[in-house]
Formats: sequence, structure tokens, C-alpha cells
Amino acid sequence: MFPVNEKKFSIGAFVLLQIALFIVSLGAVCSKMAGRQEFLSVKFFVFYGALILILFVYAILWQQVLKRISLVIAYACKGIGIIYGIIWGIVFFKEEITWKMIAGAVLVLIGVYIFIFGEIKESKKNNMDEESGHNA
Amino acid sequence: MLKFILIFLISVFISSVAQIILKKSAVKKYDSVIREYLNVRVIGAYSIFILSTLLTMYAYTGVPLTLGTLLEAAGYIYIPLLCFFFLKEKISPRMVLGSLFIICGIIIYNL
Repeated sequence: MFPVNEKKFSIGAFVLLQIALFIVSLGAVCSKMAGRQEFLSVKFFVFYGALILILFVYAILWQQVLKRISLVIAYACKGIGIIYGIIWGIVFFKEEITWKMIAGAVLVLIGVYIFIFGEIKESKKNNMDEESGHNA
Repeated sequence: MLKFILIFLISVFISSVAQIILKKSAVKKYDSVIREYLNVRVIGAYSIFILSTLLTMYAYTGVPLTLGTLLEAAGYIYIPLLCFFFLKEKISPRMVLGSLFIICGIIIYNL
């Protein structure tokens, strides 16, 4: 396990967050797949079981992410789920993608980028402050 | 319909409160990894999440799915505010701008 260290920007923590968001997006696929099956059928239990497993793994990862990243930043990154939603909609359900959906997704990405960019800048400033403190 | 919208917003709010409790638990040091997950805060937070899902399910009986997705975006307002009041996190102009972009994106996505 990593030590609790939220202030420094960590690429590893953001990678962990992306893995968590990727996994939970597959949960939505399982949920939709389960909803398409006959209630209480074998296939229903397979997809519903997969959903429960995914949510369990996500809960573990999310707690580790919260240890290292500010909740505001981590929560903002959840918006990326929209992108996965579009991709899985095309891949698994052959859903139609509209320009509004793409425009919305682009705006969400810009919003998340603004959050993360601010975090990187703040972190660099903190690191420089720490280094100058050590040198003094 | 207003009643169901209010229930939906309350559901998103208590879910945001649960996130704050999870965060409080995440930054605390524990003796073992198991204790990181099996403690009052984490169990309490996930109990609140379950309550929130039940409230959301009830709210969806009177709220269309498209509106529901928009109401969920209220989390992007609740979370920074709760972090400011309970975790003493700073709210920078960048965060406000980022939130606005995300909320606008979700609204346009669901139009």
C-alpha cells in the first residue's frame, strides 16, 4: 500500500483513478446487459454478478484514489465516464451517437482538463516551495 | 413532479455527504488494510449510498431518465461546497470554471 500523501501530484494516483473509472464504466454495460435478460435467468445472474464484482473492485480502488487525490478532483474526473459511455454504446449496443453527445463530451473533457491542469500547477508550486524550504 | 425532483436532489446530496465520509476515512491511518475498509465510516458511507440508490429509484418514478442524468450533475456543485466546509479544501476559480464546463457538457449531452 502507498503512504497517505495527497498534496504531491502523483501520476500513479491518476492512473489508478482512470483504471477505476474504466472498470466502473463496464459495470454500466453489465447493468444494461442484465436488464435485457429474462429476470432470474442464468444470463441475468451472470451479468448481475459481474456488476456486483465490478462495483466491489471499484469501491476498493476508489478508497485508494481518495487517499491520494483531493475529492473535488477525483469527483470531477468521474465526468470522463461519459466518454466511456459513448464508446461502449457504439461497441456493445450499436447506439446512435449525435453531435450533441460529442459536443457535451468535449465540454466535459475540457472541464476535467481544467481541474487536472490546476492540480498539476498547484502541485509543482508545492514541490518548489518544499525544495526551497529544504535548501534554506 | 417537483416533489420527485426534490427527492432526487436530496438523494444526490446524501450521496455527496457519503463521499465526504469516505474521504475522511481514506486520509486516516489504520493498523491494517482490512481496517481501511472495515470501519464505521466506510460501512456508514456505503449504507448511505444504498439509501441514496433507493431514493433515486423512487424519484425516477416521477422524473424522466434524461432529467435524472441532469439532476445527478448537482453532485458537481455539492462536492466542492461540502469539501470547502468539511475538509477545508480551497475552491479555486479553476475549479468553478471546470465544474461549469462539466455541468454544461452533461446538459448538452442530454439535450
